[in-house]
Amino acid sequence: MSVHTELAHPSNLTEKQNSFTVPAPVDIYENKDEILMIADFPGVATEDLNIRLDGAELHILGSPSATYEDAPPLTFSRTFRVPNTVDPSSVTAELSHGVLRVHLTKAEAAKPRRITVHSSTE
Amino acid sequence: MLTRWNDFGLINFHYSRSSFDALRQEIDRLFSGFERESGNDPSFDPDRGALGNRTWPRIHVRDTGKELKVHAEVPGLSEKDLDITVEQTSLTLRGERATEAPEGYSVHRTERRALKFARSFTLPSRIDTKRATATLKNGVLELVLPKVAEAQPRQIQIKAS
Repeated sequence: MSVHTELAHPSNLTEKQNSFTVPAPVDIYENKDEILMIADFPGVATEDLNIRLDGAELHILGSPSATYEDAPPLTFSRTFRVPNTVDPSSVTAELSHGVLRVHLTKAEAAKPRRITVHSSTE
Repeated sequence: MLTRWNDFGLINFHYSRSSFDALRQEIDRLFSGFERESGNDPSFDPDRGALGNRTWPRIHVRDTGKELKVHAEVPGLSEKDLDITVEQTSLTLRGERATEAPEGYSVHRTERRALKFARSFTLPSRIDTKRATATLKNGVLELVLPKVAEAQPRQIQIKAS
């Protein structure tokens, strides 16, 4: 199974006017239960982070709040196409030390399943 | 289709171009690294890694008159991972970030590299090292370096003769 990733056109994502949009560096991991995305959002507080699942697209935007008072405002952003094996209602995220972790839990039906073979008796 | 990610951006033209062209393009890219600093580079290619060949951490230095304010973006680092040395006219930041590849997961993409860094700056004015402070919040380190009294701006009164 592959995770398709792409960078959407930044102008579609920028929320703060006249801000610089910087792509956030991202790591993507996967195990049998979930896809885990880890991204750098330095200086961004929980309330300034905007995570949106729009159909199959996951948009993440964040602006550092008061960090760079006189510098042009920054927006970190990234967009990913999420495979349809992910259960949209189960997406969770946590932010710590400027690092965001997004857990995309796979739908039950998409998880690998061991099939027991029964011996047939004649 | 999952393509292997690498840091050198060579993957796409391995087969279609001679290695000389690839080398040339790579050199052009290195020299354009400065523009990339602005962060608004439309030619940004996520497959090169968002860190690219950029200096890490990204640092902002401001002069507020009485003090110098330094901000360094150090996501994922905690107090113990950072070592800050300040002298009257210089500042050195050292640190290390380990990869946090979780156990039992397969890897699809790694742009957040493990790294060890050291950056030194010559400060534009002398500072009072005893009053220098550092705080870390949301992955951003803020240093406040107060200038020594002689280095602070002073208003000069004009006397009528």
